[in-house]
Amino acid sequence: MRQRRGLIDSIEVDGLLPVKPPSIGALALGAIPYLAMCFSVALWDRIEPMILGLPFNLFWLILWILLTPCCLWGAYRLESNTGRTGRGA
Amino acid sequence: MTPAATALTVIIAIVAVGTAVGFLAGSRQRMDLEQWAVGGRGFGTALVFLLMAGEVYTTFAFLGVSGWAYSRGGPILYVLAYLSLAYAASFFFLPQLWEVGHEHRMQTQPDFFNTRYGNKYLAGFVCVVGILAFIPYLQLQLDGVGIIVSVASFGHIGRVPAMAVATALVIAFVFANGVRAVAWVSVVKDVLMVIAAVAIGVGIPLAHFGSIGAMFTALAHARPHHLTMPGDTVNLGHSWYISTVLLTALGFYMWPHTFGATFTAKSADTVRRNAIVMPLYTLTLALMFFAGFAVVLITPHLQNGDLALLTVVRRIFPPWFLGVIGGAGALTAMVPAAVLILTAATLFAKNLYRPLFAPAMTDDGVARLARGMVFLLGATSLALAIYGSSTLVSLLLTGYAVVTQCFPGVVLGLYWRRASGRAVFIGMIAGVLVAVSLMSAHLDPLFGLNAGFLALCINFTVAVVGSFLFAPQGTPGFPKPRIVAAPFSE
Repeated sequence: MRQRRGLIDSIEVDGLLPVKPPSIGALALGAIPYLAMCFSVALWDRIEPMILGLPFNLFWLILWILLTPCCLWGAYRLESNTGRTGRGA
Repeated sequence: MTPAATALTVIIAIVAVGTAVGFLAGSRQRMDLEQWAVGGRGFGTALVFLLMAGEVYTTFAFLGVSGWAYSRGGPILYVLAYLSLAYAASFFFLPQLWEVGHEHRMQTQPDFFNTRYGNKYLAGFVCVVGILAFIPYLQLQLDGVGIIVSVASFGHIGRVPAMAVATALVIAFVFANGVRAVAWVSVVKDVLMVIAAVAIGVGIPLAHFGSIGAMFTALAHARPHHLTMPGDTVNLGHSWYISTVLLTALGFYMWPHTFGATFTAKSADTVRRNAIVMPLYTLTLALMFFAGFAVVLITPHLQNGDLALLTVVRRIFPPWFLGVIGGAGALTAMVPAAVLILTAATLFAKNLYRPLFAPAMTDDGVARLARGMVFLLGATSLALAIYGSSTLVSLLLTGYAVVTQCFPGVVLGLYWRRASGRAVFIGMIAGVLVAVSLMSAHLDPLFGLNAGFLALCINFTVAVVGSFLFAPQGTPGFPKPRIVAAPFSE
């Protein structure tokens, strides 16, 4: 049984296994791509300004495909710091 | 040789080589559901990137995405968003799922439900949902083969005979234990597809407009509404986009084969690191957007948008190249179709029929039953493909509307101790019924929202409320419910 860490207590599934939920900070980082690519669609679904020859909406999504791994990498670092990635597991 | 004969010869040669390798190499080895997807992991970084990028080019991506970019326009952008967001979501529950699966030796999705909720009927229902969702997915693959062969033969070979032959080959693959061997064919296929995608996605705009920028400028001038939502549709606007992206991003790992593949990872950390890198592979999909948008100006007024890409390829490239793309495309459809059929048949026999109806059945009996199911599933999908008239994208969305109904059960089960099997069960039934009835009544989208997403909301609400009502009293130390909503409260 692992020790309790972070904001949220460790949780057992069926009393058999502790599953650590992600930390709030990591979840917040994971939420950024959702805000940028999904919920904010009304703000960026336009043709102008065309950037690199692409309509703005297409450019925006491609940009965020590149930025999503950065957000997740940040979340990964946070998880490692709080010992949630279960190194060696 | 006529152009049609040349193209068809190349297609048949590629499919024949693939099939032959499948039969030869497959007979030696025990079949493995996941092998085909991970067949290329022993290679260097550059080749691995090429292969992973090639795997992005499924029948759906190749013909479906360009088809909707052509016929619907803006709404197809959901594809670029949902794949990245699916990996982002997976970062927050797949590693945990892996840990539970590792601890309890889980192999399949129903195993998870059975272990977590201790309810074999729920696990059986999860099987049914998976198989139901697979049927439109299979139909999509067969439709793809029909389109490829009929376009490449300049209409000499009809869709129906092409699909019938493809179905027969797929069933033969599965029977000959050839799926694992086809892993090596899919390596060739992946390389061919990347070359083809670059040739098409960059080549078509360059040949016709001089540059990709010039193509978009011309399109923005000629058809300004096509490039934004709702594009050439009336009801696929921003609320549809948001609900569809959420439905598909959350459902991506709920397919029985993607869910099961999680358990094959080396560690939870591997799953995490995968989730970080995977979004990058979807970048190459942008090429299919370029192609589909370019065709709008080159060949307007095609009746079936899914034909758009190949019709232009047929006009611009030499017949042998059409044959290469067609052959790779046909394999792209047939290999996953074989895996889907195999997964579905195995799930049916092992996780549904035996535990519920024939506990005494031997392993041989299960294998025989699974083989029977292979025929039944192949025939059903073929019949639907012959008589159906949906676009490839709508077929995939139909599958997602059903399969994502597993999501609440998985996430609540992982993070919320109080989640009750009965509540999850009722929620799933409600979700599937709502999704199926709305779609068959042609009420999708409803109120501007994706019908599958509405069903998911009902499902989730029922599962949470039901858990409060049914959860066993005195379960000590269950976590605060707010955690439950955290992964998708963004």
